[in-house]
Amino acid sequence: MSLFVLISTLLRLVVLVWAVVLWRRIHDWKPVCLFLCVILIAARDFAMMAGTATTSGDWSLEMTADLRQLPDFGLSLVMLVVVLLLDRELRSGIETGSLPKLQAATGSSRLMKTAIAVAVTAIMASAGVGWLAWNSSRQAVLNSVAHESLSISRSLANHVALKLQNSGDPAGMREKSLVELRNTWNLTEPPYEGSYLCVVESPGRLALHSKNEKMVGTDVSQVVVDPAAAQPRTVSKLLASRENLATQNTNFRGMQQLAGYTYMPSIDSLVVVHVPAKLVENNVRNAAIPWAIGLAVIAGVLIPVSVTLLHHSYTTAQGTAQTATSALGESQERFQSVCTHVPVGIFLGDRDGGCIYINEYTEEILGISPRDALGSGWTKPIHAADRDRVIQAWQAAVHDGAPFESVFRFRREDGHDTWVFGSVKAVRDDHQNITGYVGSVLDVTQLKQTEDALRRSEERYRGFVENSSQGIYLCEFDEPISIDLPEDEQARRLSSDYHFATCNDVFARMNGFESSADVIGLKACDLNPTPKDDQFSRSDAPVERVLSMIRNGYQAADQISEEFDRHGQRVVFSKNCLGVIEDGCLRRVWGTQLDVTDRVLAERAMQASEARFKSLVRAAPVCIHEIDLAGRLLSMNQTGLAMIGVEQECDIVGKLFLDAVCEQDRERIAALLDDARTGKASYFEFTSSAATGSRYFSSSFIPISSSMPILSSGGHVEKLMGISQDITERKRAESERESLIADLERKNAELEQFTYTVSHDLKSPLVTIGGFMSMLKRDLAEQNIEAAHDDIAEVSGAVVKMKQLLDQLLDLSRVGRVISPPAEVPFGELVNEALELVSTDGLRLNVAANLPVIRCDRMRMREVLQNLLENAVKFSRNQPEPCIEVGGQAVNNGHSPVLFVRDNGIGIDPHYAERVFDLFEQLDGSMEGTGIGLALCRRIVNTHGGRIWVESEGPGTGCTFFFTLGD
Amino acid sequence: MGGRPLVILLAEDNRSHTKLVLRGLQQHHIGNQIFCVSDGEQALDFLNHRGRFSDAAANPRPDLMLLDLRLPRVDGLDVLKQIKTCATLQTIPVVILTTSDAEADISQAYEFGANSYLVKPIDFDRFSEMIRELGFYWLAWNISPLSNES
Repeated sequence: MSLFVLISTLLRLVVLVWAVVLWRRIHDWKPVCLFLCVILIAARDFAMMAGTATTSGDWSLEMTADLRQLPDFGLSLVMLVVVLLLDRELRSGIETGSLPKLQAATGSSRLMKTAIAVAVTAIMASAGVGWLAWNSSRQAVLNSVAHESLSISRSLANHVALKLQNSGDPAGMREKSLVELRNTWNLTEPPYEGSYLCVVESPGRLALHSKNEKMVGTDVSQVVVDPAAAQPRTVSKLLASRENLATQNTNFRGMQQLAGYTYMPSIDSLVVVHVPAKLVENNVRNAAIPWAIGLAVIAGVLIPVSVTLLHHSYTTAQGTAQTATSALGESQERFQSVCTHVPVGIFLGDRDGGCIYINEYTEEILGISPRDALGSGWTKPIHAADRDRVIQAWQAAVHDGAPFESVFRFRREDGHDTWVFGSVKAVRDDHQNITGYVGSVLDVTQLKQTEDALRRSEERYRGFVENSSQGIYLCEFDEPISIDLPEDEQARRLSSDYHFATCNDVFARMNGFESSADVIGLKACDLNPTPKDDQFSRSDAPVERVLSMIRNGYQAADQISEEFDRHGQRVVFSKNCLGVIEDGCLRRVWGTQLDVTDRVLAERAMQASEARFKSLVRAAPVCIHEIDLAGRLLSMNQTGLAMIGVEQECDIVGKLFLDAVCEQDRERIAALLDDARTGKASYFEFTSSAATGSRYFSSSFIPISSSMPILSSGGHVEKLMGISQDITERKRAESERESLIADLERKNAELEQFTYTVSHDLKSPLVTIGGFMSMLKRDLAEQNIEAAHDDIAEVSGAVVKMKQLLDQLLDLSRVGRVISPPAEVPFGELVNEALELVSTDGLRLNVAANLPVIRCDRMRMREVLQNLLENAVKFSRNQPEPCIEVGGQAVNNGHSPVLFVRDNGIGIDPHYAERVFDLFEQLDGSMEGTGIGLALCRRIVNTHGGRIWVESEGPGTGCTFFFTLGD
Repeated sequence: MGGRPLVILLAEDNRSHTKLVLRGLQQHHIGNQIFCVSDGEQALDFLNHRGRFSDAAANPRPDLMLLDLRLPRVDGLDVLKQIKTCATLQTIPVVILTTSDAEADISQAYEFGANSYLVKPIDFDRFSEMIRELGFYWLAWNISPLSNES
């Protein structure tokens, strides 16, 4: 058998079996079609097998050559694919639980019967159809055998002709050919075992008959070779036409023969091979029967077995669904109906925990179709917050086979959440094996919401009470107090006949207890022991407070109550309370209280501090004022007002502080004010503006913040406090003292210089005198009279110099000490007086005409002029045209005039212009004089508050001494 | 002392004192050549050969300088300072010869580099003695860098 055929056949067998099983499951036309297809192909094969078996001993060779096998194989494959698709559809149907399409499983015995019936049907159908096919193809088979006979006869003839071709003996050819043909003929194998060889000589004599020698010589010329043909031919005609012929209907000796006629020219004969038709038919039948029987046996065994196996596979796949469905049995419909109508979600799971069914109610809660919910699809709508938890619990339950119970949420696609109570239990068979799960889903949203609301409310209440910074309490009266009782009676009972039913820890701590547990159950009297210290004065008595509460409709708001805590410590509470009245009786009081002890203490301290501060400000001997951030005055104490000569505070409030500052200081103070605004205190001095009397003040800015009395650092500056003190007197005294000190220092320096210089310069003549006195002694001893005279002259010169020095020094010292009151003196007069004291012979004098009147010590000023004139005369005398000029330069705006004495003498190197005024300073040692004169002048001018200086272009150009008296 | 005439520069504003010093020097035959100037400016001009002292041959560099402190125009201390800060003049021995015995003067003079500080005695014998010893010390015993070279 060829592999192709084998595979094709097996495939078709598989398809056949599968189709049957599928048809049992799916009532559909598709499996039926497949089934019919396979049957048809099988029938055709039977027919074909019968046909081929007739013509060839080895019919498989023929079949192999048959190209029809390839499309057959393809068709088988296609059918297999179709079957696979159907199988898949069925399996998915089982998985998704589309129950209506699935048929209830049959019992195995029933299945077996079915399988056998199918097998028998298949075999019968195959046989029947095969027989019909055989009948229809019988002529074709016979024809094919006839042609086979022709080809055999032809090959015999050719063989013999070829063999005898070279014998070269035409005479003996016929005999030899006949012998050869007879010898060659050996076709005895089926289906040719009944066949025989004939040779018919022209014109129609039988020359050879391999089966019956007796027949040789018989005339067969009139035998009709093909009676079925339109023009039946006889043997003689065929011989004459020298044609070959294959025929199946030669009625040779009363038997239908299948024959092949080959004309053999070499002996002018027909070589005929005859095969009896009956024999062929028998042979075919004999060959097909065992094959058909074998196939039937195989089909009869294989089909039921395969069906059973396949069926079992589906049963396994269908698993619990099938089992559950089967278990529910006839109550299926009732169950369905219940499931549809109960207001409880019901679902079924297979034994692996996958969902196989949900009812409509569940569908509504999940918001997905039953198909989407199958398998693990039902977990998708679980609220994200609950999903992991639920899936874990479910898997654990499935794993352990334990019941599953959980409260969780489903979130529909429209966003609607449903709280459910889901509970699932395993369904077990008789052997306690889990066959599936059945569960219910209960909508508990309403319940959950109520519970949540209650819990939140409870939490709020608890949180409020526990976390409140206020003390909260509830007092229950031992006996309800009728509100019809007299107020006094009510008040008495209200303040004593109760106990604390509840309170928070804050309340407990306020009253000196550690926690609420210590307070709950306490009586009113337990909370109020005897007071220990009495630093407070009570605002009002407790009874009065209770009375006011009664009158206020059994409630009180923000009552300040001073009490004693458990340790006898005085505490102050701000209280709120509300009485609960039922049936005309006061039953309990809710209350809250706030510990305001610190606040009250602070307020009182603040008030005292404020009072102290105010009296301090009022009495302070300094100006205390407040300035806002824009620099405007807000307030000022009386001392301050008096300082600036304002009577009413309102006259200065709102005015700018800077306006009270003189212009020179304003910029500096503005900067300090800015600093103060940023929180930096500053201390400074300033002069007030002319409007307020140009007085000196020492002052400070102190930033004030709202949170702290005095701002140390950071914070928000609210305003500034200023403190100012009038220090005009002190300033004046200071400046006086400073000028005094400066004066003294100057005098001291002068004195020092003076002492030093004097010690040197006064010694100088003494050295001269001493020296020349010794000299004189020596000269006299040597009788050198001339030299002695010289010595005496030196000594007397030194003495004169000494006297001059002493006189002028005295003069100088007097200048500093003695000063006559200044008087208005015309400067011209002074010049004239001075000129009288100075010999100005041979000098040209030029005194300006309109000299000013000056205010000075007349005598001293004359001394100055005298010295200056003497100086001028001394240094210009040796000039060709000595000239001395005295004048004054007019100076504007009230300054004192600049006066001068000018000469055209030897002049002064500008380098030494300052030094000439120093004591004992002489530029020219050869000139007479003591070096005190100019020092004296400077001293007098300075005493008058003026100054003196010299200007000169240099040596030989003369010089001018200028001086002023005052600025 | 070789044959070279020893040069002394005397800066003294008081003419009587000048006479006394000259007498003292002559009495002890000290110094062959004595130049007298009466103020600080002249002293500096002499040393630097300026003005009327521009003839270097006629106004030689002194071997010793006697300097009064109180001088007109340029004070003695200033003269001293200029000499001692001038590279060419600072080797000249400068002896302060003054009437002042003020502590400030003495310390300042030494600060500026004075080689010696002498106060003029009122008694001429002592004055004369001092001049003599001064002359011997500075001109005979003392070896100055200049005389060493020559």
